[in-house]
Amino acid sequence: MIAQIKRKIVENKIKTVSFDLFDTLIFRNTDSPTALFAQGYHRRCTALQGLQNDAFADLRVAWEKKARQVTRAGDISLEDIYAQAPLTPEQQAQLCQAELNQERSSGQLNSEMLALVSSLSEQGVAVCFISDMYLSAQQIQDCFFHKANWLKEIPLFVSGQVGLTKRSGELFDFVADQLGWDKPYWLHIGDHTIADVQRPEQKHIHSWHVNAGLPHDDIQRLEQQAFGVKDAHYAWRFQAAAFGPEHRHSTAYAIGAYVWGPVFLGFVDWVIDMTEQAGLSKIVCLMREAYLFTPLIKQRLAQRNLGRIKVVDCYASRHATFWPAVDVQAPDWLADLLEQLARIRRLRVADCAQLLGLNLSHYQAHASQRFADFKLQSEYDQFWTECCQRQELVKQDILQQRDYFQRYIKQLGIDDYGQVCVVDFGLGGSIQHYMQRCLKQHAGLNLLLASSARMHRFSHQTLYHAFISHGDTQWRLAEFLARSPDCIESLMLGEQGSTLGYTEQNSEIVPILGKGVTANKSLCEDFKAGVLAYFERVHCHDSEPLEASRLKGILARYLLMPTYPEAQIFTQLRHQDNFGAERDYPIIDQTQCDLIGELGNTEALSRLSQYPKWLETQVHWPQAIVSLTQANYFLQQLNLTASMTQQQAKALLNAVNAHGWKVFSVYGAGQFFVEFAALIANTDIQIEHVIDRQANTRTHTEDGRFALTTLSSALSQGARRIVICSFAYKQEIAKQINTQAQQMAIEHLELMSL
Amino acid sequence: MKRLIDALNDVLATQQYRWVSVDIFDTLVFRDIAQPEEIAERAYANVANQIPLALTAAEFAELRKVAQQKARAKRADREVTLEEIYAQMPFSAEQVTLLLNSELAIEKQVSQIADELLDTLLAWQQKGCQLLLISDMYLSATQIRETFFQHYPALAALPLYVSCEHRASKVRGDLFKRVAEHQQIDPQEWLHIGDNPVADGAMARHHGIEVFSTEPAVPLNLVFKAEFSLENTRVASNVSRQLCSVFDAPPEYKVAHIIGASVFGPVLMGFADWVIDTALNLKLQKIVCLMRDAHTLTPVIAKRLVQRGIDALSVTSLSASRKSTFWSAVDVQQPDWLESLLARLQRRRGLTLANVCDLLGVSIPVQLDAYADYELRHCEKLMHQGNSVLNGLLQYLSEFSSVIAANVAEHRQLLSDYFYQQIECDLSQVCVVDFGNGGSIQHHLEQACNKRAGANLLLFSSQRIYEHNTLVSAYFGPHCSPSYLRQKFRRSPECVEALLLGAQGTTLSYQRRGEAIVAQQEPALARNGALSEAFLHGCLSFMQRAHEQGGGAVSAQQAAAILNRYIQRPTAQEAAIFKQVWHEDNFGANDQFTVISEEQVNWMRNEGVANALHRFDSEPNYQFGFVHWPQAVASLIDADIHFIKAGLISARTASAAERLARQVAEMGWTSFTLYGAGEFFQQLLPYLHHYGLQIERLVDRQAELKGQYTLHGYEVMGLTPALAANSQRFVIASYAFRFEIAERINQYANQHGAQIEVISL
Repeated sequence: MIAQIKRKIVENKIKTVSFDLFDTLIFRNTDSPTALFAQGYHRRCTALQGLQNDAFADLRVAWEKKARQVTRAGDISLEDIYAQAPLTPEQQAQLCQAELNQERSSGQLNSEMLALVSSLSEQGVAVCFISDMYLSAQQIQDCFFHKANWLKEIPLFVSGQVGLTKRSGELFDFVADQLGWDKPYWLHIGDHTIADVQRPEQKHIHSWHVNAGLPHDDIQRLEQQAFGVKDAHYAWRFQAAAFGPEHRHSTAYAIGAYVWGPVFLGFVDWVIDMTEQAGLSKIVCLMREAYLFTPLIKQRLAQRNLGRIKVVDCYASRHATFWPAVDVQAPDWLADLLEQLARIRRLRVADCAQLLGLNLSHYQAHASQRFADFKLQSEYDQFWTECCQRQELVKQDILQQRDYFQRYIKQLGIDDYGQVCVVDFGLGGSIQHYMQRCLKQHAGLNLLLASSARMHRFSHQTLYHAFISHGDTQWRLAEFLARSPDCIESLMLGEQGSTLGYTEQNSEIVPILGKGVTANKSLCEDFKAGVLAYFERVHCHDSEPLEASRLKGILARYLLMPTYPEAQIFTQLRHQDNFGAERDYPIIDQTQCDLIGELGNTEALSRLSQYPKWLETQVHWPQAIVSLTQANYFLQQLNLTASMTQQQAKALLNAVNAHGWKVFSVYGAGQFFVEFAALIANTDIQIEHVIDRQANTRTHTEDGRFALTTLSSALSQGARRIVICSFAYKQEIAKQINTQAQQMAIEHLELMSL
Repeated sequence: MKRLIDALNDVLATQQYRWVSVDIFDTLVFRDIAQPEEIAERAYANVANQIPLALTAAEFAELRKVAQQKARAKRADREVTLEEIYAQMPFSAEQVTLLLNSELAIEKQVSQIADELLDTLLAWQQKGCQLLLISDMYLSATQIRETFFQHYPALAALPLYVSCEHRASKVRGDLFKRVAEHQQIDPQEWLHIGDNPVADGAMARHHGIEVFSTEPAVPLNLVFKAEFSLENTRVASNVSRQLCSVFDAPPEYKVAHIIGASVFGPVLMGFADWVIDTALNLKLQKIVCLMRDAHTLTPVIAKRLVQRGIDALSVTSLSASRKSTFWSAVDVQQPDWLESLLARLQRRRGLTLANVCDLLGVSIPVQLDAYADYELRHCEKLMHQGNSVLNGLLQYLSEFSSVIAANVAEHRQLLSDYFYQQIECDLSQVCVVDFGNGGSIQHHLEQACNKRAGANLLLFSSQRIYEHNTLVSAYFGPHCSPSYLRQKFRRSPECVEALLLGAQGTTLSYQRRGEAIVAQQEPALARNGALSEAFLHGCLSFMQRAHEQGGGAVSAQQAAAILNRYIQRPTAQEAAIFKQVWHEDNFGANDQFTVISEEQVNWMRNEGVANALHRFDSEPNYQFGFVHWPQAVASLIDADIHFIKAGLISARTASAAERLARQVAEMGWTSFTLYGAGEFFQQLLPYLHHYGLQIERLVDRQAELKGQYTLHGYEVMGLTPALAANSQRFVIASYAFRFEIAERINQYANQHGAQIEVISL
């Protein structure tokens, strides 16, 4: 990102650059400002009347809201906020200081942005900081710049002091006046879509949007509200996603950095810890997932200085290990083998015939039929007879493959299989089981990212450990992950083809690889880079990985409530079944969308919750399709789309419509009005005047669309129908309007409020 | 109130049974665990250091569960021993012995005999009844005796029949037959006591045995499973919840008692501890619970103070309501106090202009007489002669402002005096406790006394606590997890509020009588009285048992899990009593209404339950004021909806089979064609027997592919021959393929011109 900003500066001949502060240069290592209030209060010695930390945070938010409602200035200060607290001045001052102390201890400067500020300053580019914030410039400098004192020399404009905001656009004008900056040669960098991007652009200032490449606010709200995730490295996740290398700025990268990074860090640390505890020194990652797992584990081992543990890739698949694991000494081995083949979901008659070396032309009519179905038909008799005739050849082939596999494992430097930790994605643990059978030895450990009920086919012989266990019932995470492994699997495989078997070349055993899915290559590379970026970010800040319960919440949110962009890249990704390896299929396509669309999202999700395997083979990730068809579905489901103000604005509009008002004036130009104005944007409703008591100090509404006027001016210009855009102060406003109208001897006046 | 034991004594006294058999688990022996898996987890944890495996306790529990399924699947009778279960796990013989013994040791540790039942049975044994024990269980008779009856020689001496030893079970009925043959029992002289409606109920009756059911009136196992699985919380004291629910519930008001014993007993005990701890930390002298909720809160807190041996604090009730304290919030020193007063009254739903005049002690102004029945909150928008009706009223009231101000001052003084007369303690030394949600009464009290309370505590709070300058804390406040619990509770306080109040009428005002001040109360709401008493009895009975168990403390997380399950996933039984519970709005409209009405049920039925629930989630205030507790209404329409959605009832569980059989019986079908001859069919069979349902024909796709075959004595055929044989009523015994099967049946029926009806899950 930094390189892109620098290029933009050059290309646009930028001479001056302003930086937003919070979530651009300064990051707080907390979930949200509210969490910070709670922490600050917690560090105070005495609680107020038994008030808990989070209850205090809620109160603190309420005080800020009240302070904003009563202010006549454009913005408020921290002292204004605490002045609303029903406490003694000493208590107010103590709480104010506690909050500042907490800001100081939790705030950190982003190194990339800091370097950019430094290099621009050195190059002679004028720099300033602009923030919509209730902290004063002095407070900000004391709290956040104490480790980089040189920043204190850079001009800093804060809305709470200036009385103007970026959000209204007026703070940019003020800065231009104060510093004499020329807007066409000015670049503003910040994270807020309106205050840092739309407003400067409206003022003809260039802007750069610092963003995670995903709707991270929505993700955070869903994680917190639906899955109780707290303290989940939001700052590191955002920075890992936002400050990636230029060529990796894709959704796949963002998913890696913001969503799966934490999950994989937890998983990788668990693998390493388990390996250490078992006294093992080698981790074997099975291909194709080893494409991702191996570099992740290597990076983490390096970060943890655990050089004594080695990691190797092992080319193995269900296809390649199933065959040599067949016990040809068992009395009915051939019949058992065919029975097992019939249990493989996508295996067709042609695949099976090929595997057994049968003449495919004999079964041409059934070639694409599922082998399991074919096995129930009378034509199967001929198939069985032919198999019996080839029994000895099949047996030799199996033994040959077993020999190759055993030699291949030795080639990897594994002399004692009981001393290695074998890692795979999951879910049924087949490969690990087959490997043990081929090698006639138990692995030191068999670890899976996730397990499903299928694992228990072998659990009486093979012992597994899963990071996300089948028995974990919370949110039905394991159940739905087993239902929709496609939500991640293809991102972990790179363009690797599946291992089909082994052969000997120049006395070396080499895997025979199927055709890979080249279409996935760049997305997989981006994804991997994103995950590694998160690892690096956490390591640089000396943070601990998140604990398993939070990781499960993060994963459950992704799986059960994906956002639109997360779902959207799965229309580009293809998945390859690793048994009948020649076929690949899109993870999400129009047919699947149509299937869900016919039912409607609510009915589809209802069916899915009743029976998770519903449409399992046809719709790979139903929740993603829901998001694709209705981007905000899950946010709406949890009532997270509309803020309280939005709901109130809707209710007011309903009242306006019910009375048939088409032309009227509005009293109140705050956030309520912004929401109200957005709702009427595409209607035939006309607003005559926007009345606000700040009309003497401000000229326009925050979005710049409406000029502000005073009450007396609006009344004298004929305003007779007035809609009050305020909930908290509607009575006071109504009274003020009535009083003014009486003074002006206006008889017919209609008011409407909530 | 008669309890279960009284009812049992009545039955035994009336019928003179010669033989009495008793189920063991959840009838005579109870285990204090969150879920059965907990036994395995704890068993493994106890010996993990002796087993060189990296298994976690949860992983072991999963293996143990699957091993049981595998062992059962290997036997046609599905009856297996503990040893056969452990043989399915990848452990050495020594490890198996260690783990198996550890499991038995944990069983011993967590189990408890229901003494009241045992004493009763032994008393009847003295009178000549022959007792015997029958259990569907994987433990042998010896293991059961050694594990559970070690200190009960009388029990250990009884004949004991266990399914795994006899390879016969109660649920299939053959164990009853075996016992009858072995003991030479005439079923007419036999009473069986047990909790399982099928194994102990239907199957015993099927063999001509009389049954005395100990099944709790609310499916507590499902409740516990939901708390454990969905809230990820292990609730302590489950055994107390169970024992209270089974043995202490009065037959007439079982469910209200169980809601007290299993839901609000634990919740309020956690709340009481929080209140007490807060008061102690702040060194306060008294806890004051506001009426009417004090009807429940005061005895709960008082009991907890006694249980904890705290005498530095006392608890008392104070008659106060929003209505009786409302005046105190009016500050007549403010210049626009009359407008503020009207503004506050405007927030009261249902309060008419006439009500307001009445409240203020003035007659309705003649010019506004036509608006007497309009709600005050709408008067601002009503125009009368160029002025809003609200303004007109304000102007009229201004003429009486001094009278009203004097009234207000008198009310404030009355409340303040009443408080000090009743409490005899400075407000700053008092912890004031109320149910929820906005803390208005606590605010009014502070205004009247002109000082801050030592603490103001609520069971739950809403954003309304920020509307005034009183500091209020809530047990279920913004900190509570899950975060939406508080919002759901605020949306549906009716899920408990009426039960907390008893028959108390609301406090209307205060009056001086000589030196004393008395609270004037509305007549009692008698129709909730008995339910409310049963509820309170349940709460206190839980606290008693939990305390006697030696622990008793309920953490805030556990309380939240219990409450969240209750609000979000009420069982049909819990929901049903709210058709009889009356709620009274104690300000504003003063309406009385049942929490759930037929009108609400019909509305949701028309709307579609899934759609309606989705809408309530996405718009919390949807149908606010009409549907008070949407989740409960949904449960009444479909008892299993919440549990199916949460994956707690699935095609793989017996409950789904029971549900399907019940559904068929409720439709009045007695015979039908069953489609699906897989695993689910086998689970369904006992329930079909239970409801006396006959299978005409059995259809399965396998038969179409490989020809007809026989299963459990039924000829399995394809769909075409079944339709040809005139099958018209189909029951689909498959969850996975039910939509596809229904479509297949319809297609075939259309081709054959047949009229068909289909029932599926």
